[in-house]
Amino acid sequence: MNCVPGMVTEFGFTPKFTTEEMRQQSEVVAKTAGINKIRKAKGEEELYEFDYVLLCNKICGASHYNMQMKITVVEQEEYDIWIAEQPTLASIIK
Amino acid sequence: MSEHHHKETFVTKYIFSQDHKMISKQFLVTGMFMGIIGVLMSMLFRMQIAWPEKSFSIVEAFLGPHQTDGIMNPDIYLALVTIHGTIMVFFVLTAGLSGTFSNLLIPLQIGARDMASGFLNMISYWLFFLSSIIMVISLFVEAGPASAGWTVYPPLSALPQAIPGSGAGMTLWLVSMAIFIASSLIGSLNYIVTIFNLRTKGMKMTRLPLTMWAFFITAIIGVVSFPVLLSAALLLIFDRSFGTSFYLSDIFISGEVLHYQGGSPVLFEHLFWFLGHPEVYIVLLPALGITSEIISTNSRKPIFGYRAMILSIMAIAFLSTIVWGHHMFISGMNPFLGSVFTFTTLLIAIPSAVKAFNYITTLWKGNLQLNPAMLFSIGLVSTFVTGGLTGLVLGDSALDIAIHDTYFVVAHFHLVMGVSAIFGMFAGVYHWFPKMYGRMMNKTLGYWHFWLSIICAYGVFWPMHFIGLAGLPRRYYSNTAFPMFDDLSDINVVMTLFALVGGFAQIFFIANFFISMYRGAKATQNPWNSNTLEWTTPVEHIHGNWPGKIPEVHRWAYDYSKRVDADDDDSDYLHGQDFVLQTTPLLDGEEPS
Repeated sequence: MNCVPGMVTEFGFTPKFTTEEMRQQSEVVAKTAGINKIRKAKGEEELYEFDYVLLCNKICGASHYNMQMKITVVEQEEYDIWIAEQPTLASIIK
Repeated sequence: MSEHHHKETFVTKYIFSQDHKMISKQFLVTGMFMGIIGVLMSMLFRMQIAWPEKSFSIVEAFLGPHQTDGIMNPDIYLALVTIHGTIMVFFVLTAGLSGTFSNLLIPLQIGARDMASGFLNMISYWLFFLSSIIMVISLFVEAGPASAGWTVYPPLSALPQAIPGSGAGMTLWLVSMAIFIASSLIGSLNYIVTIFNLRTKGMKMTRLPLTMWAFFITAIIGVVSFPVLLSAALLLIFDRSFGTSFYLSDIFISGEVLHYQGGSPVLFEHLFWFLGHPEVYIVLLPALGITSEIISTNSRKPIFGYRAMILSIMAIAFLSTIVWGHHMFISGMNPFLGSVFTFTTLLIAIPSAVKAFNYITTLWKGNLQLNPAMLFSIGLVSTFVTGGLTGLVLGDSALDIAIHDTYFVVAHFHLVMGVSAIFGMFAGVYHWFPKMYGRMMNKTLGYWHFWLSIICAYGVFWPMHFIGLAGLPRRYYSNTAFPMFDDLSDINVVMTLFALVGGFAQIFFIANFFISMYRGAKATQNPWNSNTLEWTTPVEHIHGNWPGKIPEVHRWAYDYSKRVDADDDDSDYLHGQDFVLQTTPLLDGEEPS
């Protein structure tokens, strides 16, 4: 939805596949191969790997073309381990 | 009633003219000039997309302080797409199309001496001229012109801190648009009043050519919707300059909270698109009316389904006022409201399809005269169908979530407006050039212009659908920030090459237009053997259009290839030729129309 200063912004996404599972999908494998072929030919060192990304989709300023946010989708157990390792807001603010 | 014998100076004849024929030429030339600027801008930003890291001396030449070593800055990219859109939609396709042909044709085709108010007509043009000057001046402002897209959504357009172009550039944009809207409203009022009140004897509404119906209903749509854009612009001026909060709330800049409270950008979206959607029909309907006329004349057949065409124009006009939400599907609206707008949007496809089918049926088994005007009209039908079909996809709120603000949208609206409507404008110029200037345009240059334009148009916009479906967002200065778009860079180069060739191909038209004005073959009174009233006026323009009495009308405008009996034999044309002027009285026993 429109992500606008002053308006409540929400992002809701019910994923079907984790990031790892998406990377195994046949269309994604083909697309990744194609992109990496192009990147190698251009001499780019960093190869492309699929990630869920958010991109800006409504003109917002000079950096509209370069606003990105990576979303990593993992299984519930992996997430539980990860969240337990994150500092709580309370500990940071103190 | 005879024409007034008043002394004409250079100024009253060519500059402050109140004669509708001169005013139409003024609209056309101003529209063409603005169009050249718009095309140049599109060529510059297409080059940026295709070759983002390449330095171009032409970028250095045109963009001055807004480029570094021949590569444009990101914010001027946004300024270019903004002004390109604004110029093309408003200055070329609204004023340049409606202003030219409504002014030229309304008095001539209904049988009137001039518009209801020649004075207001003159004011309408000079306000348009003034708004064009202001828009061009805004290009030279130090921080750059308006850069928030032609849709100028706040907060980006409201806050100079958000992007440099939202300072003085945006202020000038708003002033220019306010004056433009005034021009458009004055023009529209004139067209409506003239068509209602000044038709000649026998010119019933149901005998009007379809150009008249199209311009008439377009003017009504304009009067209903342009004031809402003016309101949107005024409220934006208030937010920018007088501290109000119509569109703004809770803005933080570098940790500081600004004073705005309680407004919403969605209000602007509603007000903008309440004009914005009818606006695209204001752009399209005159082109469709022109096409009806040209296809019928050049097929030597009556337009198929005259009454259905009128009803379709009315249905499109009515429905166009209740679909605006399809531009806002992703604004956070209740999905049920989205489905309402989807319903009305899909409905509007029906009268549009009726028109497309009627054009094709008119062409069927016609005695086709494939001159440039006819080719552009057929080209309009082609791109109207292809562009219109993708409108159905975009109109579905569920599908729109994936393709909103991607190149799929850009492909759609360019095919229906940037190609279809502009082809209608070209067709109109080729067809009525003899009436405007008393000379014929060069046919060979016209064919070059058409074939290059249609091939390049499809070359640019056909692949664009696919990059849109691949997720590439619009208004992106560069596609290299996301590796997932690396496989789209080659097709972007192909599209840009077609765009450059297509842009340069317009030189065929510009050159043809200006050279033919002075050196074209002298036109006869009715070079296309057309039925409508404008071809009964003398080739040399006179005030009041007809010397002596205005002719009386006895039939509709589409008596082409009318025969005495059912044999398909050239010798039995009912009046001896394959066309019958509207002024020809009925023969004994002939059915009235």
